[in-house]
Amino acid sequence: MNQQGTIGLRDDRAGWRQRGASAWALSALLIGSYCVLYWTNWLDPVATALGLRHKWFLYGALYTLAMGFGAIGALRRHGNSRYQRIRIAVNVGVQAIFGFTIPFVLPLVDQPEAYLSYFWPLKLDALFPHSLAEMPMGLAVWSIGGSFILAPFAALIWGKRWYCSWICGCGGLANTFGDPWRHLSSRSPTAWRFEQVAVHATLLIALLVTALVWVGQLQGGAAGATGESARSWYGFAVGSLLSGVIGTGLYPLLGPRTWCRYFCPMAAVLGLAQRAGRFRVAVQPGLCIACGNCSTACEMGIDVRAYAMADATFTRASCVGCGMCAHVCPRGVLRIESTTRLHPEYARAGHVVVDL
Amino acid sequence: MTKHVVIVGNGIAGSEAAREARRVDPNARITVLSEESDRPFSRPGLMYAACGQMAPADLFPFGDAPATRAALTGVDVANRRVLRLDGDPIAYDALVLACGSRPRRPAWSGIDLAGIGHFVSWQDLVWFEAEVHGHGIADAPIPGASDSPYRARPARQGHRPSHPVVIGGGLVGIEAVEVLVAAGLKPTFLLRDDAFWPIALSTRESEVVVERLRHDGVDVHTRVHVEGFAGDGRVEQVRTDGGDIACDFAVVAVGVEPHTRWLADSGLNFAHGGIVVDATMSAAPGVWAAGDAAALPSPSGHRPWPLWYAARDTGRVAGVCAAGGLARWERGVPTNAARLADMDYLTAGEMDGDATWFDEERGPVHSTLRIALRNGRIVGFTSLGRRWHVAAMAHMIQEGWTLGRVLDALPTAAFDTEFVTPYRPTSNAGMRP
Repeated sequence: MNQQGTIGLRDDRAGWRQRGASAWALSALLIGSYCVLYWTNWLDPVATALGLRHKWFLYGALYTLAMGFGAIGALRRHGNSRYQRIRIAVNVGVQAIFGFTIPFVLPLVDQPEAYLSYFWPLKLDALFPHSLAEMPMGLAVWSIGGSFILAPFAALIWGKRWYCSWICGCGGLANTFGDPWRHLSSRSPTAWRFEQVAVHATLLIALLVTALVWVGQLQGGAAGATGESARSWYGFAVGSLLSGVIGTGLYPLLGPRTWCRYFCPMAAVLGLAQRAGRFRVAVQPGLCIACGNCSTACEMGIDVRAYAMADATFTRASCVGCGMCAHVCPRGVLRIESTTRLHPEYARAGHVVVDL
Repeated sequence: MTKHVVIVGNGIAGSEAAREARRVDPNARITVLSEESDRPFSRPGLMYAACGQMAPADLFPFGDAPATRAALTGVDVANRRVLRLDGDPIAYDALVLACGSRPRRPAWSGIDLAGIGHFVSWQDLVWFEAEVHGHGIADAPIPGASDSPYRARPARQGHRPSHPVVIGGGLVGIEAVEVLVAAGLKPTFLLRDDAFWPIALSTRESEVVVERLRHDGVDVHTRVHVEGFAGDGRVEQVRTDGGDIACDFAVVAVGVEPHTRWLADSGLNFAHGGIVVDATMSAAPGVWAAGDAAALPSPSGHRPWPLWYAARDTGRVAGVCAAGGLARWERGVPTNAARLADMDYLTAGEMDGDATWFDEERGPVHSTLRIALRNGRIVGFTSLGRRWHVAAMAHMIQEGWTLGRVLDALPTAAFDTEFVTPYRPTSNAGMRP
């Protein structure tokens, strides 16, 4: 037993993991499934027959199952790391309890469906006036406080990983079901530039849509119609297309974090907090051998090796803190951390590069 | 007039030399020659590409830094020219010889049989991959001398080895074993000594590593002297002093030697096969040498030091000096890190003290810790199974801390992953004879 998380070597050459024909077929299947889910009612009878009320709970059940089975695979690969064991268990547990069971059970006791593990701006409804008005007081406080206080402040202390790699269902699916494809995330500078623009553009759009819905729901009339159409457009373009069809459908071709990396507005907010906070990928100076395992394993396409070779401890806004770079490092060069207790020799070496 | 800096070799020493030369002299013309590859790749990453954990495309840490492919035959130091097998000599103003190591090739009978090779160069990776998996990766071989370590070698296609054997109990040997295990094979691992890697590990540390290998299905034999190979065209058996061992694929990993035979007529000075250099890596007027090819100054005379970290550091010094800058190499507190089976290995300082403190944890973390002391002061540190901040360890060694002070400071020097149970000395910890 070794809690450290040194891996046994593994072979990633199979075609379904290397954009072979099987990967394209799998991607087409996923995209097709999402299209059926979002834009047809074909799944409602199936859901009813299974006692799941409507298609969204059928989706929730399948999603949770995919995470559960994916977690078994991820733990087979990375489960010799105690950090990975705890992280994956918590993430799957949060999905099973807060992402499925509680929302499913609440209506049975005449309470509104509530997804307690999602906050604005990942879930815009969390802050719309009408939805807030319908919530019990405690839930409304959780919704506002979680979005504006808990999420960003926790990211200042622990980095965005507390959410993106421990709580979030999207991140959870990426790190379990999507784990076999993590090495496919593009490391090109172009992808990095696109990510910087796209993720913050989505955040701005989310802000704008929220504002339009607020004005609409408070004023009604023409503004109300504008707000509703903005909301519905956002639901289609961002909620369905970017997070579902593209974000998950392209797992086998672009890696599992396409949505998180390029489009998630929550990731953008938490990334800004992370840049200002304590989280960093610590690099031991002079120890990197440039093998490239860290960069290969990074699901956000960060060229970790470039920082490690430059002896630069770093913070990147996009880093979701999955810990895999440190896990695969064969020389013990890397550690993700947010501690402030450091050995003086170590602190001296620790100039931190902070990149967007 | 722009200076022409020619760098022979694009391993880590040559690549770092090129980078430093460019930094020191932005106007210099820099030519990197390589017989091995078109652009610098990460040699420590080779094993990860061989096992499929990384793609060959992930192996290029310096991006697309092109080298001129050339097989060289010598250096004309007096006229400042590099001689090549095909084509005109290349004139230089400053020359950095960073031509690395080649695998040691014992004079065993049958060593040229098909199915026998090494695990050091890019061409070895191509051969190894093709042999083990029955399919290879693309490579454009260039013509070289018949004994060149960079010659392309034919591999058997479509068959996977059923009796793979790795000969040699060092770092390259264990890497080859691990890659074979990752490929689902159960290799035989032949060690000449009583234990694995005895120059670096204590007997107990070696046992811990061997236990891991046996757990993974590796058939480890110690104290085996290989005498040769037998087979009809392709290897079928390894002949040893303890009898014949079935073998249809063999990796010979019995160490490396400086790749300097091609420089025999150059008039340079050699020690243990390495090019003798001073602390500025200067070997002769206009010639610097770095990395595994160099014999570095040491308290016991000039010696090659085939270590990745030393190659990187001496390459930097050679690059600065060849471009006209000033730099000196100092050995400092030597450190090294590796991964043995699935255990992190870290060492700092010298382990030849007059007393040893040792501890082995067997709880949730299996680790060993060995501290070498001289006159009661720490001179060396070796750890298996845990991660430490190596600069903190080097600091303690440099300052000559007492054992008590080192043990008190260990928690602050830990570099373990979050949630790993912190190290505390066990009840068995203590001085060892």
